[in-house]
Amino acid sequence: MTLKTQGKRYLAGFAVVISSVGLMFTLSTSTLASADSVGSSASVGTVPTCVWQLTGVTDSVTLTHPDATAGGDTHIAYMGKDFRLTGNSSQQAKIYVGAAGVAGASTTDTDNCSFYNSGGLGVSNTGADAQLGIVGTGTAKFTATYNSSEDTAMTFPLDGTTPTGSSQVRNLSLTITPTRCVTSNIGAGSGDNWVKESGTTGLNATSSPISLALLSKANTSTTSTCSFASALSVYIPGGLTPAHAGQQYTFTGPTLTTTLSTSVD
Amino acid sequence: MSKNIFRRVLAASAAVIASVGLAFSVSGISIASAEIGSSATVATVPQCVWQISGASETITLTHAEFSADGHSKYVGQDFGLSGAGANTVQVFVGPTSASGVSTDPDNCAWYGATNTAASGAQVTYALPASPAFTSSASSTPGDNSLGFSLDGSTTTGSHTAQLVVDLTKAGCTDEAATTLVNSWTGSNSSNLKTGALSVTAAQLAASHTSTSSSCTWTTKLTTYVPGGKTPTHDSDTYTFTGPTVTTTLLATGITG
Repeated sequence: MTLKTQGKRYLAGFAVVISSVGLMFTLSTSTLASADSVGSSASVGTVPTCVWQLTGVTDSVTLTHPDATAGGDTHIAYMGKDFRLTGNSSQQAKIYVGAAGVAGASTTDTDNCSFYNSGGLGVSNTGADAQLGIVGTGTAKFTATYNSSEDTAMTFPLDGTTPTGSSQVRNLSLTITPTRCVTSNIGAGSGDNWVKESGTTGLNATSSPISLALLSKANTSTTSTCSFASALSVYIPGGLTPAHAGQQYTFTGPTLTTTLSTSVD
Repeated sequence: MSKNIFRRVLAASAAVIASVGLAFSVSGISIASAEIGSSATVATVPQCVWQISGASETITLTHAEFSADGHSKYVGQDFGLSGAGANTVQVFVGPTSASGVSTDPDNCAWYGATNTAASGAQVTYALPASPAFTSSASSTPGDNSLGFSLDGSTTTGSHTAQLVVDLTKAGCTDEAATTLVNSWTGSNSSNLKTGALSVTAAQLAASHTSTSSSCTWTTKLTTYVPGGKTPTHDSDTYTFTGPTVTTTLLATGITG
């Protein structure tokens, strides 16, 4: 104990026992040795695990008949001719990498999260692919109701065909407008390696689903993101005869589902 | 006085000296005489012994590479940790009561042998078999998901799984009292890992050992948390505990 108080170990020609962390040495009169130990410790923070996330894809888009200046016509009601309906989603759909629960990809911090166990390169362990499809493609249609009852004469399918009395294909047209799609979202953002839908695509029973946006594993970072606006349009085909002419009909379109797949190489 | 001692004065009177041995036969006179004696008080110095101090401590490692890698937390990439010890390790010759290096050549003696016959000293640093850093999550003690072995393997960031021991030496001399000759040997930077578990940090041969031989240094440790690990509790702070580095002073048989 005296030795510890002095903070040293000494050697001499008599027996000494020194105990230290996990060590005990017995020194005989013929063995001159002593031992101390150096330990080490550290406190290291870790960042959250990165996950792909999808927001802004829950919406109910109200379609209206545009006037002639917006690609419609001069009619304000269905008169047995092709009748266009259009509407914009009020949501910005967004696919992004970040810690679970964050609202979007970080614009400042590449260390906002980590994919961990991805070879130590902090690149990614998966890419992502967001696909949009029609629920129940076999019965994809716009259902017409009057006074809460379906008028099957006005209900029309989305079958990709052009019926008699119409010049339009029976599709639900989806127009995607990317707003910010980048491999890295830091600052002004990096290049765009996203493979994404753009322009107008006709959705119908056979064309659904479509890939909205895809980023490969190799191009995924901890701040990858892609956001886009969407608009819908459809034609009530010409040639239909309402059972309740002169009444107000409600048309209900199919449910569109956006699915995010993260098992993408 | 001494002259008086070496003179023997006989009074001016008749005397007969019988023989060597100074037998006097004096009668009717007075004489004086003196004798020579001697005595002294002599101190001795303590027995010299090799000693080591300052080698027990726990070194806190921190991530000092933020400016290089930009990461303040572990993100799955190699994460450097380093730290310098607060202690100055001293290996020195002195009496058992000494608290440190002496510049007095007579602070102790090796008795029974000249200094050149005294043993030299060797200090080694050694890791235990299967050395490793263990981790513990702040929310879940015992979560060793970020623990790693010092097995010499190559990390994902191209570092080696090892504990680097750097020693900054100062004041290493054969005889601090009179010269600055430095015959100390030993590694100043060592990569300890499986297959290379120990290193000689400092050594002085017997022929160079005096009564004031000494060597001092400070210690720095460096390692990397390897990349590619996934914390079971992400966002937690993990505490790492390194292996015990045993410092051993051997002061017998270090000849040469």
